[in-house]
Amino acid sequence: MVTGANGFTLISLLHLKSVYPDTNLTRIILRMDPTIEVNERVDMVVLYKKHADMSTLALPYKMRWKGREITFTQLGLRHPTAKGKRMIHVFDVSDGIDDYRLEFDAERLTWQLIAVIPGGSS
Amino acid sequence: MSNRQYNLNRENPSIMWIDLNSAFATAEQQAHPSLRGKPMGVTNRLSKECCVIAASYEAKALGIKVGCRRTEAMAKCPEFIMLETDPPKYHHVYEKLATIMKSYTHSVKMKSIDEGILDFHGTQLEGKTDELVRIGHEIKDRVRTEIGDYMKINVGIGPNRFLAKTAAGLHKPDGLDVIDHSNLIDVYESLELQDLTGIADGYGSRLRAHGIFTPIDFLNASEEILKRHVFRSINGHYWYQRLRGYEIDDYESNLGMVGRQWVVKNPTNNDAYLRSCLHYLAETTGMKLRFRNVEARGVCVWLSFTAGGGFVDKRMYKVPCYSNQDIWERVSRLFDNRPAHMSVRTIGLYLYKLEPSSKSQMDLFGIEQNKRFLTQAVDEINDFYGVFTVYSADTMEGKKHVTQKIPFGGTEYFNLLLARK
Repeated sequence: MVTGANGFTLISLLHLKSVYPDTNLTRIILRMDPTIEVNERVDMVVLYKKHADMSTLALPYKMRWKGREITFTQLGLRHPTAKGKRMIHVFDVSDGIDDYRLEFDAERLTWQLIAVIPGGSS
Repeated sequence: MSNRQYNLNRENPSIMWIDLNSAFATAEQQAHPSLRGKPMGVTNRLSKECCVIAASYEAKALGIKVGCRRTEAMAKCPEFIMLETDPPKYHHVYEKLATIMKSYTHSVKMKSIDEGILDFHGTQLEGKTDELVRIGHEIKDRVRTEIGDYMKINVGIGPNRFLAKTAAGLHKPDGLDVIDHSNLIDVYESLELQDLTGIADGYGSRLRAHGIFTPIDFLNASEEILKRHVFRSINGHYWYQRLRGYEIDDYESNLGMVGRQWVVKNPTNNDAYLRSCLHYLAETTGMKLRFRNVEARGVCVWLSFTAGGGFVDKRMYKVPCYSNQDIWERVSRLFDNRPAHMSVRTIGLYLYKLEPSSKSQMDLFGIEQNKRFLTQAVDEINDFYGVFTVYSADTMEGKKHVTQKIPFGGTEYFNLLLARK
């Protein structure tokens, strides 16, 4: 069995690439960046708080992705960015184990899971 | 020797230095809880030989510092994690930090992306050390609540910028210290010569050659010795004053040049491809130039080749330029002189001999005025609808490949983004 960096085997890398074609395997093989790029639309439950500061006014609460329900327990950072003229709100959240990068497109009103950083990566 | 004999500045401190620790790396650890407590860093573009532009505290503890190559970092720590920079994230953190700082005094100067100064001179808080300490703690709390719970800052308070910065470095990563005439000697006794800001290997060797081995020796040295023998310039006087807490660093440095460079994604000698990328760099440089409200007389284009060696060509013009068309015309002419068969690895340009913009001057035939109106109109459209809403068709190919990366040190890029809001 060929075992690469981060404990990935050749088969698991190929599987990863087939499931998440956007993922840059070179980065994983070189042990640099554990990010798995997903870029998929997801179902989302969001909490909108009446009284909160800007950074926690809207909080992703729960996501359904690949048949799994993932509940977020921690907000890392929220920051705005732009894609052309479209305003995008980036939410970096965690379910206590893995980190997820979510993007809310304020024009199209869509939620997208951009990437996952597995918690065990080091 | 007593404090009075040292002729120390006895003024109560009114300068506060704020230092955000390992700014980019901490912002990533804030965003990704799974990376907290781990040796990690960020780089501009991930590759086999990329280098660290910010390292987390855990990485620094292992000897992985800014500028360290990936291979070197991996040799020191096989578990080292490296992410690519995320400029919008850092822009957000910078903007939040600047907003917090500006809510305490009108005089705020961001010294770099992760450092800034609050000057309380001329305010009700001038010289009120206890109040400044309270504000320092308040800023720390606000950074945690308004930016993120993992963000830590160092706060230094002193009578001048030098001592405030020194104070900010005493208890990293979450310190708050005051240095004034009452404890300055004790602080100097606890430091090594090269712990002092501004004393690196060059000055360190020069001082040691004159028998100055510690900060206390430095403080004991007479102004005459420093001026005539050690530094052999006015710098000796500046250091004499600086060490005693007198302010000599409160000045605006002149902008010398603006420019951009880019490591070519796939090194080539393809003229159309390189020209389009260079044109794109020229347009972004023009944008920076106009943001600073200056015009340039000098233009330089430089290249480095994959086979080694490089090409530099520069020219000074009588008439300054500021519009994208003029900049590109001049850059393009210099680019024509390169050895066309050589494969290019890095491409760059800079504009120098900068002078204040002469927008108010009228010309006889109105041609210049029309050009100004057009440039202004395009800039306004781009400010409103987003960068590169209107751009030269020639830069389309370049725009696909060249991306904005985080520059080392300066705050210009972030200030440009803030001004656009």
